[in-house]
Amino acid sequence: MKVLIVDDERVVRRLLETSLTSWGYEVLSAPGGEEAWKILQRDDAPSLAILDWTMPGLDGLEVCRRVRALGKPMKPYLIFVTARARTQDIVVGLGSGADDYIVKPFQREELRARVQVGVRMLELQAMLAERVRQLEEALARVKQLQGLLPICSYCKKVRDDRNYWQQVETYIEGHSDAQFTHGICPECREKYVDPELARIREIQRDPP
Amino acid sequence: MADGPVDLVAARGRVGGNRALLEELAGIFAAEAPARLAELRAAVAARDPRVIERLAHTLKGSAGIVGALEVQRLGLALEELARGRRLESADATLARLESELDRVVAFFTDGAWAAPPDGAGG
Repeated sequence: MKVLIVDDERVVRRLLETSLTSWGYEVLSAPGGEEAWKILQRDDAPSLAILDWTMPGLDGLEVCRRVRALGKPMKPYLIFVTARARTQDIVVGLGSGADDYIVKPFQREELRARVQVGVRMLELQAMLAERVRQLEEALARVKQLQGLLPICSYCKKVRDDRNYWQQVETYIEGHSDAQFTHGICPECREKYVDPELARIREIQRDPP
Repeated sequence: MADGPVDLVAARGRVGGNRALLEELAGIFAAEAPARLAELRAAVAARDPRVIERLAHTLKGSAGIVGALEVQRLGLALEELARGRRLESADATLARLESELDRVVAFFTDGAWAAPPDGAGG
Protein backbone atom coordinates (compact mmCIF):
# COMPACT_ATOMS: atom_id res chain seq x y z
CA MET A 1 0.00 0.00 0.00
CA LYS A 2 1.15 3.49 -0.87
CA VAL A 3 1.56 5.97 2.01
CA LEU A 4 2.17 9.70 1.72
CA ILE A 5 4.31 11.38 4.37
CA VAL A 6 3.99 15.13 4.73
CA ASP A 7 6.31 17.00 7.09
CA ASP A 8 8.49 20.06 6.67
CA GLU A 9 10.98 18.64 9.21
CA ARG A 10 13.61 16.50 7.51
CA VAL A 11 14.36 14.60 10.71
CA VAL A 12 10.72 13.61 11.14
CA ARG A 13 10.25 12.86 7.44
CA ARG A 14 13.30 10.63 7.37
CA LEU A 15 12.21 8.78 10.52
CA LEU A 16 8.75 8.20 9.06
CA GLU A 17 10.09 7.16 5.64
CA THR A 18 12.51 4.64 7.11
CA SER A 19 9.96 3.24 9.54
CA LEU A 20 7.16 2.82 7.00
CA THR A 21 9.46 1.38 4.35
CA SER A 22 10.74 -1.19 6.86
CA TRP A 23 7.12 -2.13 7.61
CA GLY A 24 6.54 -2.88 3.95
CA TYR A 25 4.77 0.23 2.74
CA GLU A 26 5.51 2.05 -0.47
CA VAL A 27 6.41 5.55 0.64
CA LEU A 28 5.98 8.90 -1.05
CA SER A 29 6.97 12.05 0.79
CA ALA A 30 6.30 15.74 0.54
CA PRO A 31 8.10 18.53 2.42
CA GLY A 32 5.05 20.79 2.59
CA GLY A 33 1.32 21.25 2.21
CA GLU A 34 1.36 22.50 -1.40
CA GLU A 35 3.24 19.42 -2.64
CA ALA A 36 0.98 17.14 -0.61
CA TRP A 37 -2.17 18.76 -1.98
CA LYS A 38 -0.93 18.21 -5.56
CA ILE A 39 -0.20 14.54 -4.89
CA LEU A 40 -3.51 13.92 -3.12
CA GLN A 41 -5.52 15.25 -6.06
CA ARG A 42 -4.00 12.75 -8.49
CA ASP A 43 -5.92 9.70 -9.65
CA ASP A 44 -3.20 7.43 -8.30
CA ALA A 45 -2.99 9.30 -4.97
CA PRO A 46 -1.88 7.24 -1.96
CA SER A 47 -4.84 5.97 0.02
CA LEU A 48 -3.20 6.74 3.37
CA ALA A 49 -1.45 9.96 4.34
CA ILE A 50 0.47 10.97 7.45
CA LEU A 51 0.19 14.70 7.84
CA ASP A 52 2.09 17.19 9.93
CA TRP A 53 -0.09 20.10 11.00
CA THR A 54 2.26 23.05 11.46
CA MET A 55 4.00 23.82 8.18
CA PRO A 56 4.80 27.09 6.42
CA GLY A 57 2.41 27.92 3.59
CA LEU A 58 -0.43 25.42 3.26
CA ASP A 59 -0.65 23.69 6.63
CA GLY A 60 -1.82 20.15 7.35
CA LEU A 61 -5.21 21.26 8.59
CA GLU A 62 -5.98 23.02 5.31
CA VAL A 63 -4.72 20.03 3.29
CA CYS A 64 -7.04 17.81 5.29
CA ARG A 65 -10.04 20.08 4.72
CA ARG A 66 -9.34 20.33 0.99
CA VAL A 67 -8.99 16.57 0.60
CA ARG A 68 -12.31 16.00 2.35
CA ALA A 69 -13.97 18.66 0.17
CA LEU A 70 -12.79 16.80 -2.95
CA GLY A 71 -15.47 14.21 -2.23
CA LYS A 72 -13.63 11.31 -3.87
CA PRO A 73 -15.61 8.06 -3.70
CA MET A 74 -12.65 6.29 -2.09
CA LYS A 75 -11.64 8.60 0.73
CA PRO A 76 -7.99 8.52 1.78
CA TYR A 77 -7.23 7.71 5.41
CA LEU A 78 -5.60 10.75 7.00
CA ILE A 79 -3.50 10.64 10.18
CA PHE A 80 -2.21 13.78 11.82
CA VAL A 81 1.23 13.36 13.37
CA THR A 82 1.87 16.63 15.14
CA ALA A 83 3.46 18.12 18.23
CA ARG A 84 0.23 19.99 18.92
CA ALA A 85 -0.83 18.07 21.98
CA ARG A 86 -3.61 20.20 23.45
CA THR A 87 -7.11 18.73 23.62
CA GLN A 88 -8.52 21.60 21.60
CA ASP A 89 -5.97 20.89 18.84
CA ILE A 90 -6.95 17.22 18.73
CA VAL A 91 -10.63 18.22 18.53
CA VAL A 92 -9.99 20.70 15.70
CA GLY A 93 -7.71 18.23 13.88
CA LEU A 94 -10.21 15.40 13.92
CA GLY A 95 -13.02 17.86 13.21
CA SER A 96 -11.31 18.89 9.98
CA GLY A 97 -11.81 15.38 8.67
CA ALA A 98 -8.72 13.51 9.86
CA ASP A 99 -9.25 9.88 10.80
CA ASP A 100 -6.62 9.70 13.53
CA TYR A 101 -4.27 11.89 15.54
CA ILE A 102 -0.84 11.07 16.95
CA VAL A 103 1.17 13.43 19.15
CA LYS A 104 4.90 13.95 18.52
CA PRO A 105 7.30 12.73 19.61
CA PHE A 106 5.56 9.45 18.85
CA GLN A 107 6.45 5.89 19.68
CA ARG A 108 7.14 3.94 16.51
CA GLU A 109 5.11 0.93 17.59
CA GLU A 110 2.10 3.11 18.26
CA LEU A 111 2.43 4.69 14.83
CA ARG A 112 2.72 1.25 13.26
CA ALA A 113 -0.41 0.01 15.03
CA ARG A 114 -2.39 3.08 14.03
CA VAL A 115 -1.31 2.82 10.41
CA GLN A 116 -2.48 -0.80 10.51
CA VAL A 117 -5.88 0.39 11.76
CA GLY A 118 -5.96 2.71 8.75
CA VAL A 119 -5.17 -0.16 6.41
CA ARG A 120 -7.99 -2.21 7.95
CA MET A 121 -10.42 0.69 7.51
CA LEU A 122 -9.38 1.14 3.88
CA GLU A 123 -9.79 -2.58 3.20
CA LEU A 124 -13.24 -2.48 4.78
CA GLN A 125 -14.15 0.57 2.70
CA ALA A 126 -12.94 -1.15 -0.47
CA MET A 127 -14.84 -4.33 0.38
CA LEU A 128 -18.07 -2.43 1.00
CA ALA A 129 -17.63 -0.44 -2.20
CA GLU A 130 -17.17 -3.69 -4.13
CA ARG A 131 -20.27 -5.19 -2.50
CA VAL A 132 -22.33 -2.11 -3.42
CA ARG A 133 -21.04 -2.33 -6.99
CA GLN A 134 -22.07 -6.00 -7.19
CA LEU A 135 -25.53 -5.22 -5.82
CA GLU A 136 -26.03 -2.37 -8.27
CA GLU A 137 -25.01 -4.65 -11.10
CA ALA A 138 -27.44 -7.34 -9.94
CA LEU A 139 -30.21 -4.80 -9.55
CA ALA A 140 -29.68 -3.56 -13.08
CA ARG A 141 -30.14 -7.13 -14.35
CA VAL A 142 -33.46 -7.64 -12.60
CA LYS A 143 -36.36 -6.39 -14.68
CA GLN A 144 -38.65 -5.01 -12.10
CA LEU A 145 -42.42 -5.30 -12.10
CA GLN A 146 -43.62 -1.90 -11.13
CA GLY A 147 -45.73 0.98 -12.28
CA LEU A 148 -49.11 1.00 -14.04
CA LEU A 149 -49.85 -2.00 -16.25
CA PRO A 150 -52.64 -1.60 -18.88
CA ILE A 151 -54.82 -4.75 -18.84
CA CYS A 152 -57.76 -5.67 -21.10
CA SER A 153 -60.99 -5.80 -19.10
CA TYR A 154 -62.25 -8.73 -21.15
CA CYS A 155 -59.42 -11.06 -22.11
CA LYS A 156 -57.00 -9.92 -19.37
CA LYS A 157 -54.08 -9.47 -21.77
CA VAL A 158 -51.62 -6.79 -20.71
CA ARG A 159 -49.95 -4.21 -22.90
CA ASP A 160 -46.14 -4.40 -22.74
CA ASP A 161 -43.50 -1.66 -23.00
CA ARG A 162 -43.48 -1.95 -26.79
CA ASN A 163 -47.25 -1.62 -27.10
CA TYR A 164 -47.95 -5.33 -27.79
CA TRP A 165 -50.78 -7.14 -26.03
CA GLN A 166 -49.56 -10.26 -24.27
CA GLN A 167 -50.92 -12.97 -22.04
CA VAL A 168 -50.35 -12.05 -18.40
CA GLU A 169 -48.09 -15.04 -17.85
CA THR A 170 -45.91 -14.19 -20.86
CA TYR A 171 -45.51 -10.68 -19.58
CA ILE A 172 -44.66 -11.66 -16.00
CA GLU A 173 -42.21 -14.36 -17.14
CA GLY A 174 -40.45 -11.77 -19.26
CA HIS A 175 -40.22 -9.21 -16.47
CA SER A 176 -39.28 -11.29 -13.47
CA ASP A 177 -37.68 -14.54 -12.44
CA ALA A 178 -41.15 -16.11 -11.87
CA GLN A 179 -42.29 -19.07 -13.99
CA PHE A 180 -45.76 -20.55 -14.37
CA THR A 181 -47.02 -24.11 -14.05
CA HIS A 182 -50.48 -24.47 -15.53
CA GLY A 183 -53.43 -25.93 -13.66
CA ILE A 184 -57.20 -25.40 -13.34
CA CYS A 185 -58.93 -23.80 -10.39
CA PRO A 186 -62.18 -25.40 -9.04
CA GLU A 187 -64.38 -22.56 -10.31
CA CYS A 188 -63.01 -22.80 -13.86
CA ARG A 189 -63.24 -26.55 -13.74
CA GLU A 190 -66.96 -26.21 -12.99
CA LYS A 191 -67.48 -23.43 -15.48
CA TYR A 192 -65.43 -24.67 -18.45
CA VAL A 193 -64.07 -28.18 -18.01
CA ASP A 194 -67.10 -30.01 -16.66
CA PRO A 195 -69.50 -28.75 -19.38
CA GLU A 196 -66.86 -29.63 -22.01
CA LEU A 197 -66.45 -33.15 -20.63
CA ALA A 198 -70.22 -33.56 -20.54
CA ARG A 199 -70.42 -32.48 -24.16
CA ILE A 200 -67.71 -34.97 -25.17
CA ARG A 201 -69.45 -37.79 -23.33
CA GLU A 202 -72.71 -36.87 -25.07
CA ILE A 203 -71.03 -36.99 -28.47
CA GLN A 204 -69.53 -40.40 -27.65
CA ARG A 205 -72.95 -41.71 -26.65
CA ASP A 206 -74.80 -40.30 -29.63
CA PRO A 207 -72.35 -39.88 -32.47
CA PRO A 208 -73.59 -37.45 -35.11
CA MET B 1 25.38 9.89 29.44
CA ALA B 2 22.57 11.22 31.62
CA ASP B 3 24.52 14.44 32.18
CA GLY B 4 25.08 15.04 28.48
CA PRO B 5 22.87 17.19 26.26
CA VAL B 6 21.33 14.13 24.60
CA ASP B 7 19.34 11.31 26.13
CA LEU B 8 20.51 8.46 23.91
CA VAL B 9 18.24 5.92 25.52
CA ALA B 10 15.23 8.05 24.57
CA ALA B 11 16.64 8.64 21.10
CA ARG B 12 17.33 4.94 20.47
CA GLY B 13 13.79 4.21 21.60
CA ARG B 14 12.42 6.65 19.04
CA VAL B 15 14.19 4.91 16.18
CA GLY B 16 13.38 1.40 17.37
CA GLY B 17 17.07 0.69 18.04
CA ASN B 18 18.08 1.41 14.44
CA ARG B 19 21.58 2.81 15.04
CA ALA B 20 22.25 3.80 11.43
CA LEU B 21 18.98 5.71 11.31
CA LEU B 22 19.74 7.55 14.54
CA GLU B 23 23.15 8.56 13.18
CA GLU B 24 21.49 9.83 10.01
CA LEU B 25 18.85 11.80 11.95
CA ALA B 26 21.47 13.26 14.31
CA GLY B 27 23.50 14.31 11.27
CA ILE B 28 20.49 16.05 9.71
CA PHE B 29 19.62 17.71 13.03
CA ALA B 30 23.16 19.01 13.57
CA ALA B 31 23.48 20.19 9.97
CA GLU B 32 20.21 22.09 10.03
CA ALA B 33 20.60 23.57 13.52
CA PRO B 34 22.51 26.76 12.53
CA ALA B 35 19.91 27.72 9.90
CA ARG B 36 17.09 26.94 12.33
CA LEU B 37 18.68 29.09 14.96
CA ALA B 38 19.26 31.95 12.53
CA GLU B 39 15.58 31.92 11.51
CA LEU B 40 14.49 31.81 15.13
CA ARG B 41 16.85 34.63 16.06
CA ALA B 42 15.48 36.78 13.24
CA ALA B 43 11.88 36.06 14.27
CA VAL B 44 12.59 36.93 17.91
CA ALA B 45 14.37 40.13 16.84
CA ALA B 46 11.35 41.00 14.66
CA ARG B 47 8.99 40.15 17.55
CA ASP B 48 6.89 38.01 15.21
CA PRO B 49 4.97 35.64 17.49
CA ARG B 50 3.46 33.53 14.70
CA VAL B 51 6.80 32.71 13.11
CA ILE B 52 8.47 32.20 16.50
CA GLU B 53 5.69 29.80 17.48
CA ARG B 54 6.02 27.78 14.28
CA LEU B 55 9.83 27.62 14.30
CA ALA B 56 10.05 26.77 18.01
CA HIS B 57 7.33 24.16 17.55
CA THR B 58 9.20 22.51 14.68
CA LEU B 59 12.53 22.55 16.48
CA LYS B 60 10.87 21.02 19.52
CA GLY B 61 9.57 18.13 17.40
CA SER B 62 12.87 17.06 15.90
CA ALA B 63 14.81 17.71 19.14
CA GLY B 64 12.49 15.22 20.83
CA ILE B 65 13.24 12.60 18.20
CA VAL B 66 17.03 12.81 18.54
CA GLY B 67 16.90 12.85 22.34
CA ALA B 68 17.84 16.53 22.80
CA LEU B 69 15.34 16.81 25.60
CA GLU B 70 16.51 20.15 27.00
CA VAL B 71 16.29 21.73 23.53
CA GLN B 72 12.85 20.19 23.26
CA ARG B 73 11.85 21.73 26.60
CA LEU B 74 13.22 25.17 25.69
CA GLY B 75 11.55 24.98 22.30
CA LEU B 76 8.24 24.32 24.01
CA ALA B 77 8.85 27.22 26.40
CA LEU B 78 9.54 29.58 23.50
CA GLU B 79 6.52 28.29 21.60
CA GLU B 80 4.29 28.96 24.60
CA LEU B 81 5.72 32.44 25.12
CA ALA B 82 4.94 33.24 21.49
CA ARG B 83 1.46 31.75 21.66
CA GLY B 84 0.70 33.75 24.80
CA ARG B 85 2.21 36.87 23.17
CA ARG B 86 4.58 37.18 26.14
CA LEU B 87 7.71 37.97 24.20
CA GLU B 88 9.46 40.05 26.88
CA SER B 89 11.36 36.96 28.12
CA ALA B 90 11.81 35.47 24.64
CA ASP B 91 15.38 36.75 24.32
CA ALA B 92 16.48 35.04 27.52
CA THR B 93 14.84 31.76 26.51
CA LEU B 94 16.36 32.00 23.05
CA ALA B 95 19.82 32.56 24.59
CA ARG B 96 19.45 29.40 26.67
CA LEU B 97 18.17 27.52 23.64
CA GLU B 98 21.18 28.67 21.61
CA SER B 99 23.73 27.46 24.12
CA GLU B 100 21.91 24.18 24.63
CA LEU B 101 21.66 23.63 20.88
CA ASP B 102 25.40 24.31 20.61
CA ARG B 103 26.06 21.53 23.12
CA VAL B 104 23.81 19.13 21.21
CA VAL B 105 25.46 19.91 17.89
CA ALA B 106 28.91 19.48 19.44
CA PHE B 107 27.82 16.17 20.93
CA PHE B 108 26.53 14.83 17.62
CA THR B 109 29.41 16.23 15.59
CA ASP B 110 31.93 14.54 17.87
CA GLY B 111 30.85 11.11 16.63
CA ALA B 112 32.03 9.26 19.75
CA TRP B 113 28.43 8.96 20.90
CA ALA B 114 27.58 6.62 18.06
CA ALA B 115 30.00 3.91 19.25
CA PRO B 116 27.85 1.59 21.32
CA PRO B 117 29.07 0.39 24.71
CA ASP B 118 30.10 -3.25 24.73
CA GLY B 119 27.15 -5.58 24.67
CA ALA B 120 24.63 -2.86 24.00
CA GLY B 121 22.12 -3.89 21.38
CA GLY B 122 21.84 -1.61 18.35
